[in-house]
Amino acid sequence: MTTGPHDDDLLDGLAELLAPRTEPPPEVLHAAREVFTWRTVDVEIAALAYDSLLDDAVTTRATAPPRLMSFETAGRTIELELDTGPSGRRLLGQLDPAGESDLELRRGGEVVASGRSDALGRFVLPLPEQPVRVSVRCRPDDGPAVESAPTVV
Amino acid sequence: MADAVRAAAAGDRDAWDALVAGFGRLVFAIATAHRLSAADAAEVSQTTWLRLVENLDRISHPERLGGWLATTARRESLRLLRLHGREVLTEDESRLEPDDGGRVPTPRTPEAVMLDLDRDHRLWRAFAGLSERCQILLQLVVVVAPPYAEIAEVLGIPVGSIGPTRARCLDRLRRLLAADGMTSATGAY
Repeated sequence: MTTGPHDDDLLDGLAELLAPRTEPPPEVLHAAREVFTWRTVDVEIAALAYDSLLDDAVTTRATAPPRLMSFETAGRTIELELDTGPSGRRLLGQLDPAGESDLELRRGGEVVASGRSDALGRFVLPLPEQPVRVSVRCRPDDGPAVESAPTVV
Repeated sequence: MADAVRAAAAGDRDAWDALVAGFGRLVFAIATAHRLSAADAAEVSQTTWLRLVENLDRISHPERLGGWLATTARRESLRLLRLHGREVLTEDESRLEPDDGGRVPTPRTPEAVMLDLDRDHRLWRAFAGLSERCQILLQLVVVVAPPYAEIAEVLGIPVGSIGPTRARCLDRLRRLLAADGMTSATGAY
């Protein structure tokens, strides 16, 4: 494939035209650098293992089922379901292994809601009205703290 | 780059900053290429870097970090698009093929006619007339260097077909510009 001088001119023009979309604002890069502090947080991060939003078998259905997410570490799974009712948005959760645990809904390092799971590992946390990036930190009575990877819900 | 990944995994903050400096533009450009707003693109960027922090110890091919970040940024972009209930791009490569003929011209206001004199505006309009996948490809071509492994990840096509596809997209862009009278009027491009 040859690249003619005309292609280069056109690409130069595009590069200039698209600069506002290709150059991240300084605060975006700053935030990306700050993400590194997560390395030092004293909880284990549970990686997002499943999100029904990215499941084509689910999203192509005519009626959208509730959004389901699953976060996993080697020793624990946090299942979350987004529930939208007349009283607002909330997260229905299930810890596996089941057990009682203190729970925090966190946003940008702040605790915005808290709750506790029952003996079967079930819990409910209220969500802000608009989708925001949140995480669920779980402090089990009988084990180390685990936090779901921050995700927009 | 592989060294920087290993150093960051070992806790070296400067190495992490170097990774952000090297790939921050790519991650952001992938988000905006999916027509996400600046705020959503910032969100995608943040989440993508968080995913990398979570996975620093598990990156099996640090030398392919660009591709890993590109895949992650695309997934996060799709997640936000679906969250907003917006149409998601198909994986169908045929959409990269130019369709015949130019777009129906939009009605022109006097202001628009004035703007038409502006070369950037014409280029912008031609670019907007491209298929979404051509737009993504060309936007990323100006951000990353060959061999474009990152773009191949985003579009889900082999690296080898990026070159020919890029040529087709540019050709289509040129024809849209010509249909808009740009080439004949100014001889540019």
